[in-house]
Amino acid sequence: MSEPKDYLGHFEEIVLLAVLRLGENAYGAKIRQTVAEAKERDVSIGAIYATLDRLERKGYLKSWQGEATPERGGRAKRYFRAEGAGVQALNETNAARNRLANGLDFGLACAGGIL
Amino acid sequence: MNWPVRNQKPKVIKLFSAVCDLDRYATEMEMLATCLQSIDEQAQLLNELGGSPSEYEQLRIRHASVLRKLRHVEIMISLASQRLSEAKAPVNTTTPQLGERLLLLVLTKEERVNIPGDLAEEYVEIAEKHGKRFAKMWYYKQVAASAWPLIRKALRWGMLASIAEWIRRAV
Repeated sequence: MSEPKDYLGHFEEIVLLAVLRLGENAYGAKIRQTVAEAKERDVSIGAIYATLDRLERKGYLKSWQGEATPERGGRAKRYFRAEGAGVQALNETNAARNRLANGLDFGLACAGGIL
Repeated sequence: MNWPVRNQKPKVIKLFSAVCDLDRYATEMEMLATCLQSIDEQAQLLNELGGSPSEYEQLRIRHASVLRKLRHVEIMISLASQRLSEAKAPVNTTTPQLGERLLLLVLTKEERVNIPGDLAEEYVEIAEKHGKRFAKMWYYKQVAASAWPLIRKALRWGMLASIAEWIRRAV
């Protein structure tokens, strides 16, 4: 049997995708805005950092301190970059979801189950 | 004699373009400025010929409507300039002190730089876009919503670190 795969949670997946999408400009505030736009609701910076921290501990992300700007009150940014393991985890999660969803018709299943 | 509209055209055009970017008033302003220039030229001619006060008065009466318009334009420009300077006034970038103190309570030493910085950056953007009051509310909402995820994270990793330390000592 192949080695066990680590699948991402829903929020982890979204945050990791936001980091990939932002590329070199991936830091807390921008990641929060991107996730909030994607989810179409406000997201707390605490939830974003807790998830980023978890992903970094798993080895899916790497972070480093960036520059400080006056509008940030002279505080430094913390930039994030997705690692190869993170991209692999994203692919595996996506593949698992596709395997489960393949052949399912959500509309008909809903109508049949409820009505 | 001090003629009130002397060399007004460049001033009017400059002020108008500084406070208003609406093309629909541009033609009217150009016409008004041309009228003013014409009056200005007549006044200059009077000056050169040494016109009497009554001649100046006649000129003023003849162009009363244009001068009235000029007065209105000056008032409009003054109001618009005031609004423009208010809009351009830098937003106070200081984040709510109480909110920041509450936030610092739940942050680890490493997070105390990045998270308040990210919130401060967005606070300025929101204050510029929606006003300081809205930005303040947003800030407090962020602090309240961020508290639990950050505390839970600290507890989780704190607990794991304690277990790891206990195992290390036991071994």
